[in-house]
Amino acid sequence: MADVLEYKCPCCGGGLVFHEDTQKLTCPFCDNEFTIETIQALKESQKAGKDEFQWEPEEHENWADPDDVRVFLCSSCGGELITDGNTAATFCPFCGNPTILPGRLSGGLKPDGVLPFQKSKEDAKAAFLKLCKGKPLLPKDFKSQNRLEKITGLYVPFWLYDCKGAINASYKATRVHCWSDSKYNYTRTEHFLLQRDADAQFDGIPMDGSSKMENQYMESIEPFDYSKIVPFDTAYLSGFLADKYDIEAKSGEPRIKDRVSQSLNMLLQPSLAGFSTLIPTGSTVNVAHSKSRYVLMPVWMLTTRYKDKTYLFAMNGQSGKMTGSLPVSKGRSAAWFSAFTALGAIAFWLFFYLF
Amino acid sequence: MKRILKLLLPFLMAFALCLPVLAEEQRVFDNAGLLDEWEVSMLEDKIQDLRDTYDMDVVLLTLNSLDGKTAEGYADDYYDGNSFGENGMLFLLDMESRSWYMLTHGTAIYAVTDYGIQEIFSAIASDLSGGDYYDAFDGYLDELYTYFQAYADGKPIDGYRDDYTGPGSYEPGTRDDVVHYPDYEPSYDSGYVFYPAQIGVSLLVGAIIGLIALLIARRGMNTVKSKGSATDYVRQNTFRITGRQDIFLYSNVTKTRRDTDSGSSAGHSGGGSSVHTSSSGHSHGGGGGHF
Repeated sequence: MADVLEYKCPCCGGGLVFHEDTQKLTCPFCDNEFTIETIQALKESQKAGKDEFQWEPEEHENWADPDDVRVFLCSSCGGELITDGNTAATFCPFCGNPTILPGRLSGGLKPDGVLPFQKSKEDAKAAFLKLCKGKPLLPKDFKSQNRLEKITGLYVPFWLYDCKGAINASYKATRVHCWSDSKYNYTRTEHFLLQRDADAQFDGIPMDGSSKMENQYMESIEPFDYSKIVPFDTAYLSGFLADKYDIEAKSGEPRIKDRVSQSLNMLLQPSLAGFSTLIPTGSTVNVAHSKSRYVLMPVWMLTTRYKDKTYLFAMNGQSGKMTGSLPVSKGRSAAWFSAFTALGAIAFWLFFYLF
Repeated sequence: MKRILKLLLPFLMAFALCLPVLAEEQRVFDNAGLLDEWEVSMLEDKIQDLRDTYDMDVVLLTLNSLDGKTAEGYADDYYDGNSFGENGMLFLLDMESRSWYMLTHGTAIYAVTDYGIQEIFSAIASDLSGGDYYDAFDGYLDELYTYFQAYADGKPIDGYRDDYTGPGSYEPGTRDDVVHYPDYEPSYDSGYVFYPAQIGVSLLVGAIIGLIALLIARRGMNTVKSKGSATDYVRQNTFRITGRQDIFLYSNVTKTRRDTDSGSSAGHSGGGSSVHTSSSGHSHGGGGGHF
C-alpha cells in the first residue's frame, strides 16, 4: 500500500511515494528516500518570503530661528546652500559656477547633529596633489595651481539609519567525495538544503540626503566616526557652506535594505564553508525599528572644469579620505600602451630568439 | 702459351664473374624474392654508402622460412656465420611467420638501442604490412643514417634515458655509455630560423601586456565606487545566527574507469640496449616482432 503525495523528488523530479513500513517518502524512479521533515523544509524554502521594512516614528525638529542663517541659490544647477550670517558663497561647490544668488530658507528640518571639520583646506590641497601623483595617464596641465583655489568646505546632509536587520536565507549546496579502487574512480555528490536565519543591529548606515551629491561619492569616502557628532549649532557653519537635504529619510529604504541584505549575506559566509558548490535559492530580509538621524557631515569639495567637463573631488573632512575621477589623457594612454606593447613584443621576441 | 691461357680461362672467367662481388660485397639477401633486380642494386648502393660513411655493416635478409629457429636465433647465426663487419646491423624479414628482427652487433648496439629499433620499425611498419618491401627497406636505411650520424657525433639517440650527462661524454665500448638526449636534433637543424609569424605573435603578446599596463594605470584614476555592504555599521557582537539547518537531500555516485598504463614500453624504461649472447658466443643487441 502506498499513498501518492503531491511532492516531487528533489533529485529527479518524479512523484514521491509514501511507504508505511519505513515512514519515508521514496522516489520510484531514482530510489532516493526522504523524511517528511526534509520534504517539508524543502517546500518551505521554495516559498518566496516577503521582505519587510518597518519604520519607527520620526522625531526631528524644524528650523526654529531661520534668521541666523543665510541661504544662497545657484542659478546654474539649482543648488540650495545654507551658511551663517558672516559667510558668503562665491561659487557653487557642485557645478563650480559663480552665479550665486541670495535666497530665502524654505523651511524644512533642522539637523539633529553636526560632525565638525577636522581637516583643513591645506590638508585637502595636499590630498588632491597626492591623488594626482604617480598617475601616468593624467594630462600634464591638469595639476596647475589654480584648480586648488576652488575648494569649498561643505556640510553634506546625511541620514543615518539605525535598524535591526534579519535575514532568512536558503541555499542549495553539494559536497563531493572522491575515492578509487583498482578499476574505477568514484565520485559521490551529496546534495544539501541549507537554511540560515540571522540578525544584527546596525548603527548609523549613512546615506546622503542631497540630490546634488552622488551617492557613490559619499559611499567612497565612508566611514565617518560618529562619536564626534555634536548637537547642531549654526556657529559650526561659520566659514563653511551647508547643503540642505532634498531627499526624504524614507526614500533611503531600498538602498538601506540592499546594504543590510548584503551585509548579512556576507556575515553568513563563514557558516556556509565546507561545501563544494553553493547556490543561493532565496532570501527574505526584514528591516525593523528603522530610525533616522539628520546629521551634517564635513566634506571638502573640489570642483574643476577641464576641457568642458566638470570633475568633482570629495574628501572626508574628518578622516582625510579622498575620492574622485581624474581625467585620462588620450595621448598619454596611447603612449603608455604603445611603450608597453613594444617592450612586451621585444621581450617575447628575445624569448623566441634565445630558446 | 695458348694452352696455358686455355687452362687459365675458366679461372679468369670465374675471377671476372667474381669482380662485381668483390667490388661491392653482397649485403642484400632476398631469399624470399620480394625485390626485383633494380631494387636490389639501389639498396646495395645505399648500404655501400652507409658502410663507407659510418664504418658500420648493414645486412638485409628476407626468408621464406626460419627453419625452426627463432627470428633472433636465425639472425644471430646468420650474422656470425658470414664474414660481416665487426660493427653492424642485420634486418631479417621472414614471410612465413611474418616476423621481423633487427640485430645489432658491436658498436651498432650503442648506435641503435632498443628504443631506436622500435622507432625505426614504427617508421616502416605501414610499408611492411602494406607489402611495399622496397620502400620499407629504403626507409630503414634512411633511418640508419640518422642513428649512425648521431652516434658518430657522440650523441647516440636513446629515448628512454632520463639523466643528461652533457654532450661529448660518449665513449664507445661499454653499455653504460649509451646515452641519448631526448630533445636530440641533428646539428644542421639547430640554427636560428626566421619566421614572419613570430613578429605577429610577439606583437600580439606585446599588445596584451600593453593592455594590462593600461588597465593598471587607469585603475587609480577613478576611486569613486559604490559600497555594497554595511558591515562597518553592525553594532559589535549583535550579529547572531538564530537558525541553522543543513538538510541532507540525496546523493549520487558516478564511477569512471581508471586509465591504466598498458605496459607497452616495459623493459625499455632504463634506456640502452638489451644484449644477449648468440650460440656462437658473440654479443648481439636487437629486437623484433611481427608485421
